[in-house]
Amino acid sequence: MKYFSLFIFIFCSKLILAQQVTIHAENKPIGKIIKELESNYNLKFAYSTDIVKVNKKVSIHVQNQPIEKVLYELFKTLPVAYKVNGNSILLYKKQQTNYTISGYLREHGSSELLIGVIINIESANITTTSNGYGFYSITLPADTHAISFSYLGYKSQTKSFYLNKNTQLDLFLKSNNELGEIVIKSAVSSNNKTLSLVDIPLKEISNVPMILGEKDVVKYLMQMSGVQKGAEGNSYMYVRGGGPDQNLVLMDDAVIYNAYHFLGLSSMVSGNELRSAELIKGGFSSKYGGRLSSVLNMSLKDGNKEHFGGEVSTGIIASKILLEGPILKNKSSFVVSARRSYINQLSKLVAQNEEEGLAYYFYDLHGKISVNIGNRSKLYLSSYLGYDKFNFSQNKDEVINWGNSTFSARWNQQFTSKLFSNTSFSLSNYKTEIGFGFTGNSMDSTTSKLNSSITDYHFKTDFDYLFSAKHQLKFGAGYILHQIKPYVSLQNYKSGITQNIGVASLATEGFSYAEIQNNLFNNLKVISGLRLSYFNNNATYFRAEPRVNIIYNLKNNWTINSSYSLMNQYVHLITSLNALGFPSDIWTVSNANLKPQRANIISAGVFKNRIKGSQISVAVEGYYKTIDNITSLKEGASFFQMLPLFSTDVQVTNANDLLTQGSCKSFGGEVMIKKTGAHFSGQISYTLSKTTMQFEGINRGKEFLANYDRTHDLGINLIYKTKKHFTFSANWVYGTGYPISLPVGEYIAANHTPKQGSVPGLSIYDYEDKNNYRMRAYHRLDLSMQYTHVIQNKIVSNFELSLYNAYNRANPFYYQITSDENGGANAKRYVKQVSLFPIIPSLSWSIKF
Amino acid sequence: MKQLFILLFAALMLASCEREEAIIVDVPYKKKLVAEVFLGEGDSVFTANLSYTKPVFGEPNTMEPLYATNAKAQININGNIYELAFNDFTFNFNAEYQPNTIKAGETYYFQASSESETITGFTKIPEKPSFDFDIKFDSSLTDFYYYNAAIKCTNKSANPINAKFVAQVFFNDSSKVFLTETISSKIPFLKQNESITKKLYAFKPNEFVYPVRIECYGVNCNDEYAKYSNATSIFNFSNILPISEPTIVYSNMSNKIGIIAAYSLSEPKIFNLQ
Repeated sequence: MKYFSLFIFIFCSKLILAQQVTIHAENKPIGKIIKELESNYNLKFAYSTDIVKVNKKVSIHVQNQPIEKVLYELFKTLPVAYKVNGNSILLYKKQQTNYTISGYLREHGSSELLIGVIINIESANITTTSNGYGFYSITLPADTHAISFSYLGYKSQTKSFYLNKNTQLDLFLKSNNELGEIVIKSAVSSNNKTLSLVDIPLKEISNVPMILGEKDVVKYLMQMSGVQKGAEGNSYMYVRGGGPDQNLVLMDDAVIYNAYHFLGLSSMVSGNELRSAELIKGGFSSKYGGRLSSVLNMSLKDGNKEHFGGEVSTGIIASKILLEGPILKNKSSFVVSARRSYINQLSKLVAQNEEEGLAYYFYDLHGKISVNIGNRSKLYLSSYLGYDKFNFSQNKDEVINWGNSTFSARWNQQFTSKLFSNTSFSLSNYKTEIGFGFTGNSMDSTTSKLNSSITDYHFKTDFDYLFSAKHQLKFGAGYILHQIKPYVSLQNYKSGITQNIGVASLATEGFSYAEIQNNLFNNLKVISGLRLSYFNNNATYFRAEPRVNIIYNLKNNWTINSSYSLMNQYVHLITSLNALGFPSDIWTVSNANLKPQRANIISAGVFKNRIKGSQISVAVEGYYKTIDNITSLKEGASFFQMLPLFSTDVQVTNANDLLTQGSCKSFGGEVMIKKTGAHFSGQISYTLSKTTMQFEGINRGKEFLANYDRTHDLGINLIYKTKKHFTFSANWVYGTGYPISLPVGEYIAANHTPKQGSVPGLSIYDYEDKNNYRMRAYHRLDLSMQYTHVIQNKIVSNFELSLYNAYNRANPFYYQITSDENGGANAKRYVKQVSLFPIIPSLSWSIKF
Repeated sequence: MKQLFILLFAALMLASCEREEAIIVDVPYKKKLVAEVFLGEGDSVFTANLSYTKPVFGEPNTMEPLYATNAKAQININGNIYELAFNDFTFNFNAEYQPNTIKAGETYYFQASSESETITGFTKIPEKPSFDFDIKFDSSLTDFYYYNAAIKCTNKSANPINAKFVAQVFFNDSSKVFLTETISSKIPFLKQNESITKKLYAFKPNEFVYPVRIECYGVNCNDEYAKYSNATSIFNFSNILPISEPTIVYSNMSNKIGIIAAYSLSEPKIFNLQ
């Protein structure tokens, strides 16, 4: 009997499953469809309304199909599974399967990869960004999702689809320029919610007036809080109280040791050859190391893979050309840019004769080739060559030359939808040459040259593993070979013999790191990592560098953040002259006597976007930094001591004999107020800070203000764009004067010789304390007006008239104690201020095609 | 267009010359007592130069010291105090130590006071050095006014020393001059058996005389002497460049200005040139 019952049950189930069902519904609540099936086909559904959303509207059109087919069609896009038991159908939660959607984001029209595009999936409450190579990857449950892609200066896109398998989705975003729109959104990426990490909007650089019309990424960075607003003739960058050697400047993974041209006229990049640039001042990723205070990470454009284009610009002191285009359309491309100054030629035109005029010029050459190897692999080759040459007298041997050259080869590989890698080999070289000639009668005629170079051979590999949208792992390793060559070259005119004094050194550095990013509780992002490094140069140093970065998004567009970083640095820049960025400064590396520099950095801040619905955002952040083993020349020492011309018989052949190490402390607070808008935009940045140093043997071991300490640093930048052609901009900067040492008295010291006794010989100043005085404050107003018009919808022409230092402020370059030359023996002494740049008009013109 | 460009650039070049202006600085002048005391092994007289610091701004740059004629000074050796008196002929402070002489290995304490401050310092006399000399005396008229000599000196002392060198040239008319190093030269630190060649020079007394004999001395300077001497020569050089780091000259006095230092002379080496 029981078998008969079983037979009947199975027969009925089969009947039910076998019965043909017809149902048509368009956008109907699923609850009603279920009731219809129950009444028409004698079915009984059992389910929880938590799992089956009865009000969810679906559409279904099935004609004479088995119930199983109907159930499949009805629930295929929903997280609902079913089980038939007689005429009862049990509905339960479908086991979730996650899939990954990934791909590359590019600019429409050029195929340039876009970095830092914001990707938002509202249904899953997930926001992420494309990585440094334009790649993104998100893991989501199988479901219908709407994914939006937004990027400043580009039209946003939203894609909706049902995710039921791993999907490759590459997108092209159209720029607003292409669309003819001026739409400047307050598109704040997660990066810009903290002042420690700044994505540099490259397209805005052209709107900021700069000296002699030369657009410059580094000069633009000086608009940011925490980056000093500049000083007269100073080309170095000081970030959060850090010295000029503490900034890691990267161009396509190659290190640039000195990115600046003479007297701060310009840096090596104007901006239009770049695809992206970011400045990191705190909360350092474990990926970065080797420097203490900042990372300026720049990527050259890949080149337009679709059609040829370029840009030509000319100004008062230099001209530039940029060309880009496909080698094989959509597969490979090139970009080259060249800039050369003509100060020397033009100055001769206004000088009295051929020998006069400023014998100085510089040039920059950038080049890059990018190749797509299949859909998942890319190869990049890029190179840079830059050079400054200054002949400061009629003697052709009396020169100051310096230059960088770099080469890098990078390979990007997407292994799976979640695993991405970047492997690179790079070579960086920086060299300086300072030559002095002396042909006096009482000494041998010699030319002395101080040469210094540092060459890095750098190999590294980085991996990004995206577990899910909420968890991401980064890890990698690398190796650097440093080759240092400081030496003095002595060439005797009479004998023609050249003698080289100095010891080259070879140092090795290795590192590995791992970092995990967790998005917790939807609003909290915690990035924690560890970097391990070692260094060897006749002494071995092992260092561990923990890093933590926490970002918490509150309601109403508030964000708070805090970070801690421990950084080590094995290279040292020895500045021989008073913090002016003179190219006589020399790079060296740690050794048995010169310990690595080490910094502990803490920062914390708060960010508020869209105050009261406006386009104004405010960020406030504080930092505290302590640095050990900071390196300096001993008091009064100078690398010119290596030149026998100045040190007579005594030559210091070991650079370490001139050096001492001490500590540095810096703390400060930054405020940044930014307004974006279609016509009017601007920002105010302010930093209040203090930086002190302490060395045994300098200032009698007492703490003193750093040469570049600046209590107040303020910048106001305003831009107004008319509807059609004109852009007006104004930029005002203010900074407390730099500290200097002025004497509180003097005495006449004895020139003592044994057996002869003493005669008054020298006037010695009593400084009492180092940096006991401040120069006058630095402030300056720059104005510019641009006229832009488009020719034949393709060529963009831009004229710019700018005024540097519009109210002709005499900002201090240096102070000197002097006396009136005409006053004779009784001329009184006073302090003379020397200023460099008065009001300077400039005109420049560029075309982009 | 070209002319516009050149015109604009010319305006730029003319406008871009360095500008200078006098600045009024509020750096208060502080009057301090400065003592410079150099003690030589074998000497029987203590000598000290005492002066005051002078204001810098608003004052001419004269090389005239502001002598501290009203100051008091003394030297203490082994509990014996010797008061130094101002000598208005030599403008320094002296005291006789006879029948004693300054001895190597001993430490001498100095104290001076003015109306507003008292300063102290001490120094130890270094050991007598031993040197080998080799001389190349160039009496040719390299530029008509100078005698030049290149002296190779080898440290034969038991220990490394801060070495200085003195040479005296005697002429046929019995006149003599000291050959000296340049004012900017530094005192080298010589290890045992280490050599250095020093160039010394002197003005010719007149064009008719010729040299007949040279006496060379090596000097062992103690650390204070070397540091002070080197610091003043560095100061002298770095002060030339307006944008170089200012040098705070080394001092071992209690008020951080001035010096008390010591030295010892080697036995002379005599070179007969005839």
